Amino acid sequence: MSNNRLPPPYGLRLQRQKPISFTFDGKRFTGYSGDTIASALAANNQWLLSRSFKYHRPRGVLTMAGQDANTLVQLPSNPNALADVEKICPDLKVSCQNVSGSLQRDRLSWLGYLSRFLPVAFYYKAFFRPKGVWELWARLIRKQAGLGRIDESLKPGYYDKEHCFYDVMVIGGGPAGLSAALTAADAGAKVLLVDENTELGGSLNYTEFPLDGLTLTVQRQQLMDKVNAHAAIEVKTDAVCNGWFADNWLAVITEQRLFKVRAKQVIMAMGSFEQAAVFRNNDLPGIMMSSAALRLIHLYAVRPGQKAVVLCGNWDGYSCALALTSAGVKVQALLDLRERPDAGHPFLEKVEALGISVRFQYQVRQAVASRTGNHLAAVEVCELDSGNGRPATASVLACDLLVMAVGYTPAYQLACQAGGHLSYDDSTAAFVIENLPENCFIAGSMNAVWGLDNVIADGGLAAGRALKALGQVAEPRLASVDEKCQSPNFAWPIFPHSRGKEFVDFDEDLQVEDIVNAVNDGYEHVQLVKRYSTAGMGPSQGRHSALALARLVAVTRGISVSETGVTTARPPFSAELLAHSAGRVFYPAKRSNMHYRHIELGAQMMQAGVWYRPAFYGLKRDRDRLIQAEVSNVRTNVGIIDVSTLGGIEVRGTDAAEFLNRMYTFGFIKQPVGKARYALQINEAGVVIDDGVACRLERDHFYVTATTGGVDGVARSMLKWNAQWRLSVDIANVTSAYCAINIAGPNARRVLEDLCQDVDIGAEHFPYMAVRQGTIAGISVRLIRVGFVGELGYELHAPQQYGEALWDILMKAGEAYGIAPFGVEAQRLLRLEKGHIIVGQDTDAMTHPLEINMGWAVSKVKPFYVGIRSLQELEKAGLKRVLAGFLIKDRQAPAPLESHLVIDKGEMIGRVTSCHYSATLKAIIGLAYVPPQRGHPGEAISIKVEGGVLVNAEIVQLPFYDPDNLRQGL
Amino acid sequence: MSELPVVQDPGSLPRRSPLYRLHLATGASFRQVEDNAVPYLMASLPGDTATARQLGLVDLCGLTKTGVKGPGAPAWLQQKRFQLPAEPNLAVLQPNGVLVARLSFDEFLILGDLKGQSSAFFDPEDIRLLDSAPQAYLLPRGDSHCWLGVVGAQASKMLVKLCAIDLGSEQFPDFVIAQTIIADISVIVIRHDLGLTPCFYLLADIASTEYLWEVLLDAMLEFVGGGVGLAALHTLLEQEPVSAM
Repeated sequence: MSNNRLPPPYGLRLQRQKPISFTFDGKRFTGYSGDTIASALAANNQWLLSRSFKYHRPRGVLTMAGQDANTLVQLPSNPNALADVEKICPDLKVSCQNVSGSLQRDRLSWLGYLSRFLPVAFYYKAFFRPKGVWELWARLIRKQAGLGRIDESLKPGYYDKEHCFYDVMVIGGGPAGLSAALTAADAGAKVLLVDENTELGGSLNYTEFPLDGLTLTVQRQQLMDKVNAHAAIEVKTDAVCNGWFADNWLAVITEQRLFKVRAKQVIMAMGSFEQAAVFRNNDLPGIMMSSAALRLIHLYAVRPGQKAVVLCGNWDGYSCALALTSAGVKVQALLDLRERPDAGHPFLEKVEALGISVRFQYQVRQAVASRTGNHLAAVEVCELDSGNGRPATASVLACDLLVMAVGYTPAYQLACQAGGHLSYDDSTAAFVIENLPENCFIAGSMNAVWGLDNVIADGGLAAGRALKALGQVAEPRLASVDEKCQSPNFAWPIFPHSRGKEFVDFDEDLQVEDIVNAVNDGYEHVQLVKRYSTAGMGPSQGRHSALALARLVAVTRGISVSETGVTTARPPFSAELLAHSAGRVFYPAKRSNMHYRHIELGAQMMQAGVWYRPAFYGLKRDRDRLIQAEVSNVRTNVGIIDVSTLGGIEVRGTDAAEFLNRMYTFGFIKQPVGKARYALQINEAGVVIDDGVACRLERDHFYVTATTGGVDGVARSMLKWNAQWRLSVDIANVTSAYCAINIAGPNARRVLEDLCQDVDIGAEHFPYMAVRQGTIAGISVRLIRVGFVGELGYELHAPQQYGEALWDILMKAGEAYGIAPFGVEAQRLLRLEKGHIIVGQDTDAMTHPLEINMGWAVSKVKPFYVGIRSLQELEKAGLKRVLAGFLIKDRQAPAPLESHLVIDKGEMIGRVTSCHYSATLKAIIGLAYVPPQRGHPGEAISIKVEGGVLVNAEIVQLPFYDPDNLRQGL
Repeated sequence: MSELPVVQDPGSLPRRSPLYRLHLATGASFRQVEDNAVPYLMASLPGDTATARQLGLVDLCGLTKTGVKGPGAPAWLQQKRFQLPAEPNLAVLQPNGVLVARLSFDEFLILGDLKGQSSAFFDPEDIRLLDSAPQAYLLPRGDSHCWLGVVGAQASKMLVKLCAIDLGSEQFPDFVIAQTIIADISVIVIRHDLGLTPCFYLLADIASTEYLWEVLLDAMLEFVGGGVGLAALHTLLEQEPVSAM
């Protein structure tokens, strides 16, 4: 280990008995278990971590809290990992990103010299002239854009989600959060305490509060012990609350799980983000927040430098100077931006007692880089208010560390997502969060309360308010907050320099001049400045730029910061993986009871909506031949198909017939019991939305079938309409309650004859479109004579769990007749040969019954059915298109596909909806929409197929097969 | 021991749970209920029971169930001496172990007892009369829905990975019903603790049974849960009798 590593008890997070080796840019380093990449590198004196986005400037540790873009590095499977929070693990391979050449010598660092030619929003004003040049620029810019590399070979991990429910959720495990959680839990609330860090404690783990009541260690331990022992508090550490959504729905992300938390009350105690001072070269590695230096020392046992200068505008700088000294860092000077206090201050006395030179009303004029340009070597300091010219009092202090303690911004993101308003208090020079919604509270420094005792008391106060909102009768006794505690924010820690490079936004390399110019370009509102300059739009989302941005806009516009306002905060709070949002991916699937029989028979399964259905039986390579064979077997013998996916709806009640009469276009009042009738459904616009058959089982009982994909919508529409009509009917979607098998072909009756003893299935007693109820081998079945495939056929509907047994019985009985299963593909061809449409394939969102030759299915005498008025108007308007059958005699012609266009003189006049080669007809047949005048048999049409080839086809009379319907009526 | 007859091959019975092949493949043994089979043991009885105490998943599709619906349903069921829940989304355990769940003011789901003894809820005459009862209709719930049981101390903790309802015992006590979504499909959740062991019945579209079973098993992995047979539930019932029985 290098001499940057401090001895115990420094290093709260380290397990020194577990050294870990890893590489950074190919060079091997060693750290301890518990180290982050950045802390382990810093311990080894590797401070340079990345290059900035625009000017490729060297960047290092800034916050040590995962709140800035300086530490973005590439991991093998994860770009843009934050090196200051990402823990090392054995043999981890870390590399830098956004670098041309090497991290030490980035070839693109010369871009910084061109900064005066790359003013704010230059990309809006360049690259588009002369015409066509953008294409060239785009390639170059695309190459430079983005950070990191995605591992395209990555196998997705197992990510999951979980719902949680609590009375009170406390976000932030610092002193305020711990206090709030304890107060709420002591009062009986079920509490969730969430913290993004590995351990609870927040600032107690690294900040020194030497002037507060109890000693830090005692205070911290007392709170932690109580929280950990409390049965009503659930603690989640390493957990980021990434978003607040309506009604206190909060997203909490852990390593591989997204928790969806519902909390009756939310207390946000997320602390504050320390802010950077703005001066020339303030981004050099070696310059960091005072909190970052303290984290390095206390959490990771890393000495942040050898010789330090402290720039401060509050007493936290003094505290940090003391901690640095204790850690063996030589503090060269403490520059206090404030005036020397009239009375002595304990911090001042302590610091001066250590011999540290304190200079009041002093600023850093600029930071000076080392010879390599990659680290801080010195700071040039001067008296405050000495202007931009070189002041007479300027002096240079050699140092490799500059810590900044000039103020804070509350962690406002979640509170603002919840509807809170961020306003600026000119008297304290700080943002404050106001107008929080009901059931949401803030506490601690996030609530602009400072000082350890105050913060703890404020946590209790917030919990008290939450408990009251929960209906607690008596509020718990609470300590009061000392309102006099001073704000730690210095009002103007911004020191423009004539040569620029005083960075306001590190993510986007935005300097003071950029913000001023944005306002001067006319983008005065802070929201416009943000979008024009991209301030706050980088990975750190304005955590360290929002305050300085508001101040600069205010000064440039000549208004107060409170009048300037701030930009909007939206989820997520921090970067999250898409995998967290996706979680486990669910693929709901439905299988009929006969599913595995199809598999055993070698079916190629396809998904029809959520259902698995057999497409055809046999090997994929024989697909076309197998489909034609299945068709042939149905036409000449007998086939069997699982149609369990067919929708089924029971309509029962004294008004059942009247109800169907209104829902469907046909008449159902006089439908005899024991008969099925085609049922065509249109919507209020007259558009065809579903079809099926309505079987009248009893006088007041219909069993209505619907399409696989449409049944849920049909059932919903039935419920909707009857909510208005109030007819005496019960509507039940029983699709899954019944399996269904269609046995079709000239031998279908023979197969059933021996099986069905209690139903006379002879042609005379069981004619086409008749319905019977009976049993097959003891299984109750509803038998419907239908002809979808154009042959003698029976649909057998039986309770779902009997499906496999029924299939077996039919297959066995059919053996003597050469029964064979057929799949969806054969069924589609069979129905096409018969000219039957499939709603959704041969219809679209405009199709009305008259276009598809379904006038016969529309009652002319009914006074009402859904859609009647629209259909009457459509009829009056005349047909614009018709669905016609076409035939291609040329067997060598390429077969059109669905949606291929019908072309006439170069213009589109229609489209194909179904098309297939029919071995039965020895031709390619299909259905297509064409203009009415082109839909007469004998008309020639041209269809543009793949490759732009025009294929000639002839309109023919439908159906293609068995025009006299003799076969289905056998 | 159960009085239910042993059945070696559930595939030999006319009525078959969508999951019987999966159970066969894992070496389960079966008992017959009516013309269906239920997985009785997945491993050994002590093994199944130990799993069920922590987190078990049981296929109850073979047990009987039905539904009655319509404005006349409450009166008709009361006539048949069923005790009905006072309001929707509650269930009442009948003295014979049958569970009557009220899904809405006029829709009821009736689940047979876990012993498989309440095979017929209504005699044929009841059904005949139901046809003429004013606005009361039988629903084919025996086949429209699968019936799975999630049992064990970790049950609610596992289910919240898949369901947005708070299924903790405070918010979701015994005999409370939620008609909700689990893993993207509609599910009726009924809490019916087996003595001191939490138990949730899940009823979903029967065609989705295999999907739901696999999703639940996957979610149970982190709790080291797994499939159990009906015998484990019997053991829990016998060792920790439900007060209402």
